Amino acid sequence: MRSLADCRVLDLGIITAGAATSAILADLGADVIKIESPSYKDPFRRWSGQTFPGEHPDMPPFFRMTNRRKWNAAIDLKTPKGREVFLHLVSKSDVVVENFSRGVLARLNLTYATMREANPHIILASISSQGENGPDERYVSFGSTLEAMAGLAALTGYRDGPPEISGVDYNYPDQVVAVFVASMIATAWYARQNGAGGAHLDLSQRELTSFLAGETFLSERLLERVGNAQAHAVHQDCYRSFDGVWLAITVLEQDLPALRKMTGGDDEANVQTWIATTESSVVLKRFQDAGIAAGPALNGPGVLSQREDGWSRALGLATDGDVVKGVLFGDLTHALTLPRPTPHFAADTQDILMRIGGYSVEDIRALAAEGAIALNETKSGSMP
Amino acid sequence: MTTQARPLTGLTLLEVGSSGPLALDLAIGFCGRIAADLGAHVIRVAERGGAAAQSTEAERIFLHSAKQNMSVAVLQRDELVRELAATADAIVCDATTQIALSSHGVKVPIACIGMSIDSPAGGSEFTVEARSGLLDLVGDPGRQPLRLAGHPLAYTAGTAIYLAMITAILQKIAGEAPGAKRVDLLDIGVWLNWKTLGLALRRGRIPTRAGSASEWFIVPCADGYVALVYRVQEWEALKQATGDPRLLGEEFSSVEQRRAHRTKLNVILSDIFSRMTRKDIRALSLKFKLPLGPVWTPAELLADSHMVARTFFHPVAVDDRNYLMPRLPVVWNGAAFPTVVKLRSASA
Repeated sequence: MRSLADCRVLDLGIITAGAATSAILADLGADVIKIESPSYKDPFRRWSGQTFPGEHPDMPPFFRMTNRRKWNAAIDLKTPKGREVFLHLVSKSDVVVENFSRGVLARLNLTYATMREANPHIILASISSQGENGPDERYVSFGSTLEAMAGLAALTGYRDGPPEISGVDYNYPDQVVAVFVASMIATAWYARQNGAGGAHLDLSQRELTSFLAGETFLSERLLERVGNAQAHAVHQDCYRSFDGVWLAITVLEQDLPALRKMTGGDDEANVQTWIATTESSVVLKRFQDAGIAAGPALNGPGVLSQREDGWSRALGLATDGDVVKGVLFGDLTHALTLPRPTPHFAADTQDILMRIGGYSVEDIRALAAEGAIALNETKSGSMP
Repeated sequence: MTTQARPLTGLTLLEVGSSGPLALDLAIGFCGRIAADLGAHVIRVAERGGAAAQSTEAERIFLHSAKQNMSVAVLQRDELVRELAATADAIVCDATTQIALSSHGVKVPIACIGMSIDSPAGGSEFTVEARSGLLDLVGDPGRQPLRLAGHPLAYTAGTAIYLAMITAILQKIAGEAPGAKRVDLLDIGVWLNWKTLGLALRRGRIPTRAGSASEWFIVPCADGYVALVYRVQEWEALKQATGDPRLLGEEFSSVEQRRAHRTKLNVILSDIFSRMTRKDIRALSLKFKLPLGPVWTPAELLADSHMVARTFFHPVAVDDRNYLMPRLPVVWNGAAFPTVVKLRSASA
């Protein structure tokens, strides 16, 4: 896929939302340069979870999984020279992605207006918790904060229980935002090709979370927590089988004759009793044969066991064999190349400044000496 | 907010409703909703009595209000789709329809969706959520796994279809022959669950639902609930904001200590926040930069000061009934894109 082949992205994205957005753009062919500051590295390097024996402490798995297929340049945006270098790169680029707390870019005097002065065609994607204005503009959040504030948590939960959130391991809004923002950037790129010029995209994660449950705002009846039920299904829940496996079942109106034949009745108690006294493999086979939707509620290893049989693209391998995030869709005629591994901090500063910025080796040494940029001996690999 | 030309103005998208599981039709419909709000002319062709008949009226209004809707008998559908395909700039459909269109030599950029590799038209959104490991992460460990409300998986997949469609159009503009793009619901679920798999692959901790012992959890407050969400960098601010001496003990002095005593910590936090209102918690979060989440209901959000300030909801009339419609969550050069209603009937 080379749909963004001529598109250069300066990635100020951190943690998941911003960094994963740029990773998707890289999958579409964009040349993505992750820019980190020597005085403020992506916090995901330090608190994204476990680092395993033999791994660099700055390169934990979650960080490597998210930042593959990018270059890495270290520029200190707090210094006048560093800011100048960044704006020079903006003049040579097409897209900037950022998800800092609101106010950070303004304090650095790196607003859309200043970027547009450097490049009138720049597309700036500003990803934030609440958007660029409004009384909650400065609210900070993680994904599950937004599930609560956007209306999703109020409707999630057992019938007799409190609201629920997806939690730190899932953190749904922080994952899905990357798909949406990459889509909006690709749209802005399309519009630019049609003469629309640059764009400032103000993207509120809270609004996205509400939008993803948009119909709940249009319902004329009072909504409440209903566990696993959905309106279109007669029965829908997880039931534990005789061998202790939680099985997810969706029974539609049209399935009731087959359900009656199988379980001796069509109410929920029948379903629950029959599954509780039957091995999971038998339940799944019988439901499958009857054309009724059923599947095991798998944990991590269970999901991995279905790789290639049920799913194939969601995880990928980098060229060094590291397991990284995969792609969102397959191209039925184009093969996708393996991604370059995630580069170390500052791995490509010199190459980027020379290749894109046109700086000389002497310029670069001087910038490094005054702390505007940082250099690193470790290179990402050969340039394209 | 100012007016702004919509970026997809002039583009015609043919949306073919699915006759397969409802999740496919919802995903396709969500893709079309995004495109319509961005200015595309979206023609939706659906089989009368097909999957869309299972969706609720609210879902149909949310997804299809801005489209030209055509509901036809199954025998007429394929011929109509081929006819409309000739003038469309792109097509979104399910995998079964994509195969049929390709066999008829349709060359328009196509983005399609299936349920999974091993069962392209089988299962439900719920059973695919189960297979992708997402259900296992939510709820109480002593009770059944739990899904998030709404259609988190189908709509994420719908967003991915939209991205695939734009990609195909960009490829065509670049002079490439765009291959049909395919999204699978199970792959999207696994993609969302990447952290669990990243740990499972490396033989680390295997995440699963932990209920009230979770790092992040929901507790009652004086007038509802609040999601206690924070990470290591917010701990000092949380202590300062609450001013509670019980949080100063040695047993909570490090990440490891807090993890080891999480149940006790969560009991204390529950007690602290039980006396605050959601309004108090919102103010506290803004003052101390804490990511705490007051739980608002959809009905409350319609009048929420922040949502109102950003005109996230706008009035629409469908079949002489008035609704507050959530707009596409992007403000483009200062302009929002409210839904332009074309739906004449909310029926499938």
